[in-house]
Amino acid sequence: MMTTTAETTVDLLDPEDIVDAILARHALAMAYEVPWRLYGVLRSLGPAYRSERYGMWVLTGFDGCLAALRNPRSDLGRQVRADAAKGSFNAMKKASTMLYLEDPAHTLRQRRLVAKAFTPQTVQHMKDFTRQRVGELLADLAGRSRFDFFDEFADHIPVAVICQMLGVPREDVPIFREWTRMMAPSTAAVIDHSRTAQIEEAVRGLHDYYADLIPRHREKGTDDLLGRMIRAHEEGDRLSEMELISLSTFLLSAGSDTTSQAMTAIVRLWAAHPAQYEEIRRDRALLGNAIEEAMRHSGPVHYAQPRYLREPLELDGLTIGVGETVLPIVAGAHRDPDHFDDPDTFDIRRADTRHLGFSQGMHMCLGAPLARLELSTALGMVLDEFASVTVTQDPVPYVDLGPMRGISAMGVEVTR
Amino acid sequence: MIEVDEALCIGSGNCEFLAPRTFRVEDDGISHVLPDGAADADAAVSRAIDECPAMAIRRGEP
Repeated sequence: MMTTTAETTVDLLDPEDIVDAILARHALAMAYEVPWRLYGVLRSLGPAYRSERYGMWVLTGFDGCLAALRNPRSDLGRQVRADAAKGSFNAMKKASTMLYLEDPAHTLRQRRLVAKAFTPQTVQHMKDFTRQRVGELLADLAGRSRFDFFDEFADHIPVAVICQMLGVPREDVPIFREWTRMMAPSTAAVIDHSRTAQIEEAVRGLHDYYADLIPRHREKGTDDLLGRMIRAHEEGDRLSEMELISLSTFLLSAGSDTTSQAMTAIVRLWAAHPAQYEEIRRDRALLGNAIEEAMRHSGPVHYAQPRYLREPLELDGLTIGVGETVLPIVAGAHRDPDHFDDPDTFDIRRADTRHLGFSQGMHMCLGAPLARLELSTALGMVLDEFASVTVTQDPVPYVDLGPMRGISAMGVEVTR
Repeated sequence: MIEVDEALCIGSGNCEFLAPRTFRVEDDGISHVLPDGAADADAAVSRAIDECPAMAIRRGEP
């Protein structure tokens, strides 16, 4: 039994081939439901499948993914630190951000300091800016019934919000959008080495930009996120210059494509369920759950970063030992029939929409409140503006976003 | 009965965002449970417990 797209053929009877397709052959760019069929095959083999080729355990069930993400001493950074030792500039930058630090205590120290700047109030302050930027984009689309939802709308919002938060002037937003695009492949579990040069170029561009911006912010004592991160301190401890540059780069890449892709995936799903779109339009109390349910059903991040275990992971009838690497495929967890009733059905009234799209545990997404604010603000305005949304062509896959199922173009037709 | 372990809390504020009538990060950088803790939907409080990056929130005995 084979399943195919233009570039990829997957042998559904060979789990090793399935894992290879997911990690290295763009299976996430295949027809809409195909990746979930692949996860279903792996899930049917047991709580974890050990890939010999990649030397890791692939998790596609909810309980296994949850246990792996909450495992308190797992380490995401072994490969990054190895690459940094070989002289990769991107890896050297990544190696000092909280996602990739070896010691969990160091990760929590950085999170504590960043949390002093990235407060619920800082996030709430971005609501007005988001409304303003979305309003401008909708005004530009006035009078048009057809447009590209990703390229002319969603892709402009998160990068503008992050730049505003960091105090990057508006005229520099386009270059930040370009750098984000160039860096994106660096998040893949298996790096495509043909992308190394573009990643390094973007990371160097951002490094030089921030190295110039930070001293100016320090001098002026600005009240934006970057200014607050510069001043954040706890018991005499502060973020170093290197940490500030790495964290700013990290916040940009973690907060841009993820949110614009989530927004696009959600509208794709809503458009495919016009009766539910109409219900949300009429009753905005449903908006929050309609976003969370869409994140569960079709959230853009398909797998989390691989974890190297320093404590055994106990799964149903299986113990994965210290020193092993596990890959939590959260999109598989979200369609696990042992956890969700009728998991393939999109239902905005579903009672349990708790998902792993922002991860959980020590590396739970720092920007989840910001992402949720941007999504509810922008999508609320989409509901205000458009009586209906129809996707007019199969969305064009965006194959260069690592663990994300990306869309690079999505033509829509709207009524007002 | 909701409890925040102050020794674990890193003040991320995710709980306050999800359940603003139950949690507030005060000037000490730690999340505190507000007296009127029943004001948020149970699902929101559950999500706040699940999504605490420090795994510092739990439901105690009533």
